[in-house]
Amino acid sequence: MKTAIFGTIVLISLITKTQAQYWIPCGGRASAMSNAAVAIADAFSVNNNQAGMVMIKQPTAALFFENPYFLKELSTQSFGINLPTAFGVFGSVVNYCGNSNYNTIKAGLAYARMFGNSFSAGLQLDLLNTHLAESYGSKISGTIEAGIQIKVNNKLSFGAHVFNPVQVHLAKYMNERIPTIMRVGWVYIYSQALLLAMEVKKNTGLPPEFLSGIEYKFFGKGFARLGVATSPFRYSFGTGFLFHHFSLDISSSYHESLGFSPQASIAYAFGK
Amino acid sequence: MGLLMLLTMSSYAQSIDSVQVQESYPLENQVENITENNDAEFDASQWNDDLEDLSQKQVNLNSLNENELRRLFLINEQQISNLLAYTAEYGPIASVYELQLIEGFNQEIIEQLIPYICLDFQPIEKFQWEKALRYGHGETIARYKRVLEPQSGYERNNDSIRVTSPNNYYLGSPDALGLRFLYKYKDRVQYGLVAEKDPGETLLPKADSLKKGFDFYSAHLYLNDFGKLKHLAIGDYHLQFGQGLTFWSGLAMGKASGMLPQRKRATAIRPHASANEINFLRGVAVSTELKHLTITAFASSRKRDANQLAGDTVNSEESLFSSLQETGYHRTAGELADRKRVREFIAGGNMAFREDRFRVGFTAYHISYNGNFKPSDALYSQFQAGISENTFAGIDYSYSYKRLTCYGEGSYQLGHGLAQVHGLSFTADPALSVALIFRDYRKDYNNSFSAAFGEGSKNTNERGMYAGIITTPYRSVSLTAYADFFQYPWLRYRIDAPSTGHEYSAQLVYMLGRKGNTSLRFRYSLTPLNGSSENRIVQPVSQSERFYWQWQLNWQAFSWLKTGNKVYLVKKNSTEGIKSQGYFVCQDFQFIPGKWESRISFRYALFDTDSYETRMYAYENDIPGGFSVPALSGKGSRCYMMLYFRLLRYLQVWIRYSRTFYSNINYISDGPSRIEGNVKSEVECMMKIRL
Repeated sequence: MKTAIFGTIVLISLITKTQAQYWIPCGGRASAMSNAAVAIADAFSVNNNQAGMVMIKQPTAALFFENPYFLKELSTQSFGINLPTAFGVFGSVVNYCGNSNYNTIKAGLAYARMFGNSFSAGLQLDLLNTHLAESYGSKISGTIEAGIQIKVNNKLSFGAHVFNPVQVHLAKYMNERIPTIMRVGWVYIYSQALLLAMEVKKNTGLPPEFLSGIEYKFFGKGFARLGVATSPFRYSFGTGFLFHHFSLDISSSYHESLGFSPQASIAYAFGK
Repeated sequence: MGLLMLLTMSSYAQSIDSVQVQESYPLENQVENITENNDAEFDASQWNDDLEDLSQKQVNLNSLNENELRRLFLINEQQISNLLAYTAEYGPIASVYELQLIEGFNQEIIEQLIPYICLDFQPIEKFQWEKALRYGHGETIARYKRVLEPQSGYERNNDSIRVTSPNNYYLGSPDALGLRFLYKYKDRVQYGLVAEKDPGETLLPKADSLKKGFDFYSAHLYLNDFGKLKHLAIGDYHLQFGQGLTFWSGLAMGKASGMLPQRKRATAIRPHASANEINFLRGVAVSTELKHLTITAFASSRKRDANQLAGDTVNSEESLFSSLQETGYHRTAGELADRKRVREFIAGGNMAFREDRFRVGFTAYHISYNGNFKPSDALYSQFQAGISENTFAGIDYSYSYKRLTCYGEGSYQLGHGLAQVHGLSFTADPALSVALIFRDYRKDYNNSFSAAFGEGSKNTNERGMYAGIITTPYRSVSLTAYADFFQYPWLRYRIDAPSTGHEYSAQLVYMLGRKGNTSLRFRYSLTPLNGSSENRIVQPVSQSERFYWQWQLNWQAFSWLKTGNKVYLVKKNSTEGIKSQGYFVCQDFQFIPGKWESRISFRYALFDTDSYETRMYAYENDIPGGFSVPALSGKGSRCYMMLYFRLLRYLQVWIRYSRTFYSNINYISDGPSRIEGNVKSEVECMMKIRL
């Protein structure tokens, strides 16, 4: 058991180079565009940038799975709901990442609303749980995340998001803190069929990353997506389909040393 | 206004467009890029043919011929089909500004195209041999080049020193001489003769043991489009098929900032009319067209330079060689001894089927030498087959559907390895195009005539994925970016383990109205290389980072004056944590006096680099057909001046002087080309007589 835990910790410390553990970008659409999602609005905005929730017009539920590098020990699940009301959009999201020996959970309650025609903002209260097996136990911390989106014109939108700006303590020992993640980016909409997204992401514990992706819509119901990200260098690609109330997205990213990471998500919009 | 003139006066345009070519962005990037990737001793003259071809023979946009339009590497398949649809509907294009009406063309693209295009709409006339031999035009080019400072290899020392170290002395004079005669009738008939002598090579016989005359001769006869006979080349020629994986001689476009790689447009047979001594075929090539099918057959036999191993000729009939020599230089006794030692035979063919949007081709060839080569015992080349005899066969395809083009080629070295390359180009929006290229060249595939897309200079031992986009979100802004990831599954030279690397680049161009543009370019690469730590016996492979920034401004200040500025910055973090950097700053002027057909180009540049690792490659205006991309390292300044004028109606003259001054050294270069002092200057001139 000790070796299993040790192995997991080694693995996690390797993976932290490539994966933020507490705030995890979600959604098969975002993943296929290398997670350049800060200026994008969809069912996973409740996790990716709460300000994007304002674009949701029906109550929506969404599920996301990721299996980084085909390692089940790192598998990630996320469940989010969005509830549009007359006073803005409410939402909730729960992410689970890891395995029984080591895992992190994020549970959040979100609220977002428009201010005027082109500015929206969102706020989320998070509870984070870190669990290590055997005598290490669990630790619960609370933090916030917030974001804005600005529609500059019909073609260009801007987004910014920050997770855990206060850098809450994980442990007093060694002054261990949960890292802050800040992201800014924009999306350029060429036409109904094509958009280009770019984003700069900074995690306090990692070098800055540049993320970019394009999405092309074909036959009105299908999507093809492609993304490139730096530090570490990785490609991502994926496809998505709309069926009535459902939207299904599958994707994968490719890391130069660690290989493929498949992702899938499904979202359902109630009513209409 | 000058541009309009260029289009209306085609004879005038013919003469100055070659100067225009050198100012064109993507081409300049290509040249700098390839020079960088091929290291300093790269002989750019092998491109003369290809680039001159583009600059001399403009593409006629009204030709209604898809293949003709494809010669323009700056436009994509989508733009070609839009253009054809437009000319079919509205008739021939009358002015270059009419192009803006066609989807997919904008101001920037049009300005890039202008040097390469013309808008003729003459009816095709019937071919007559009598006319072809009388009304074509002949041109004679004579070039001369020389380094002015004395170099140690030319010193006239006494014989005893020469005998002890014969390879430290050049036998000939430091002058480089070139002659070329070409006769062309439209694009139907062409014949020509090339003669050349490099610096240090002998021209006229000095002793009985030395050869007589020029060091290199080349001749060709080329016929194009005679009914069923599509092409015929006798003498020296080039071949290009498919995506260049099985057979491609001559220039192949690769990765470069500012442009997207696209499906290669193979030109099958072309004459070889340059002084490049390595990369061509000598013999006969013929192709015939039967409806949708084009069949090409070729055979070549020529002597190649090879390094013979000593001591094996006495007993055995067959001689043993260590390697082919690919410099083309025959300046020293040693180099002369290697000259034309082994005969190379190449024979093969290609079948290309084409219907509408679909094409498929099959290429096969056999190459052999009448000598044996000693296999290399380096670990990195242990999967390579001996070069004495090999056969290659490949299949290529391409398919276009609306705005999507897929293409690729697979090739097999008989008894050895496979190689494949597949690409996709997609114009998702008139303002955005995407290109993807995947390649997988096995470690046991070794084809000296392959020139498909890749990171390494040879298509072997490499797997990779390239993704690039080009977009013009606003009329005056264009952004080009790419990422490329590559793996070397087996060892390579100076990389003692399987390794990976990647590169990304972005270029932003902003058009400043019609008068100029400014651009910012960034490139980052992470490449594997052996460490060089002194206290280790086995060097681990580590990765070295290279950052590259470039800013440029081009401005047409007056009708008679163009200015240009460039600032380059390179930073390298090498394997052992050694950091070095380099700067390059320059000011360009180009005067174009209106009265006479003439121009003066001038550059003054400063460079300051910490090491050879951060050397700078800056493209310079050169005499047409000569490419100057000097590798500048150390501290110093570089300037050049070039004068071009038309003396008589049929006589054009170019004169160029360049000078590099180093402030931190007291001798330049080593070995026989060593110069005592810190200045290296060079004169070059060319005369072109056209009848």
